[in-house]
Amino acid sequence: MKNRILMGIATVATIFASIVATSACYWSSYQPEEPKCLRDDE
Amino acid sequence: MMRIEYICEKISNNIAQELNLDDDKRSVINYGIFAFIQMGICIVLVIVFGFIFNVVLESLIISFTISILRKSSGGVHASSPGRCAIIGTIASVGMGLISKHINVSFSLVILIGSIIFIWSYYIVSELAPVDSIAKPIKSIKKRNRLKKSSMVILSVYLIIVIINNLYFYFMKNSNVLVYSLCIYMGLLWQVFSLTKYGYLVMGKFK
Repeated sequence: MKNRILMGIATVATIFASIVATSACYWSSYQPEEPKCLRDDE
Repeated sequence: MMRIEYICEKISNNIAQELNLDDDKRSVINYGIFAFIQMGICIVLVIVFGFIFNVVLESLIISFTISILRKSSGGVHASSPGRCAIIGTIASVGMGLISKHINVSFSLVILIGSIIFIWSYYIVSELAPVDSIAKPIKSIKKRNRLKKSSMVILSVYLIIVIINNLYFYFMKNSNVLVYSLCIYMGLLWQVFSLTKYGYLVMGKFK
């Protein structure tokens, strides 16, 4: 049960991170370091 | 005071440990949790202080106007999440108060709106998206896509303002003029943050 909850949080957080990754910046005016695996280095 | 980054780090470390995830997945989860919490705090602060000063709706309109455009256009950033929340709250509630209590005629609202929108279209088409060191945008395709979505968002704001102003013209409901002013102010703040003068002014509060 605990793992299911953690998996749910992890999934939601990953979806949220992907949404933020496709935009220019966060919702607010602070931008933390973006994880390297989410960056597009083209 | 516990820092938000520290709390997010603890949560993501715990999740990664329990689910046996690698470091890349842990950093993505941490990034997502932080985005969610930071967004929540900013909105809650605007609601709380908007409620105290009796400008909840006005402050939220300004906050959402800034943030929705900001996601595509980028702009100047604060140096910490705390400062970001404080600056965002003061700006949204302060401009909400001005919008609610300023006394401007309908023709002046049209004039101010025309100037702000022409300037916004020019600045967004020239400068957006403005990236940061923490999130550089190197892909030309992505830059073009973000510029295009910034222009679309700007056009949606323009349509909302036109509908608002037409509604006021026919129904004489002064509340809608206040909402138009809120969109103008949010737009002005966000577009100004794209310019070098925005960087200079906001840099003083960073």
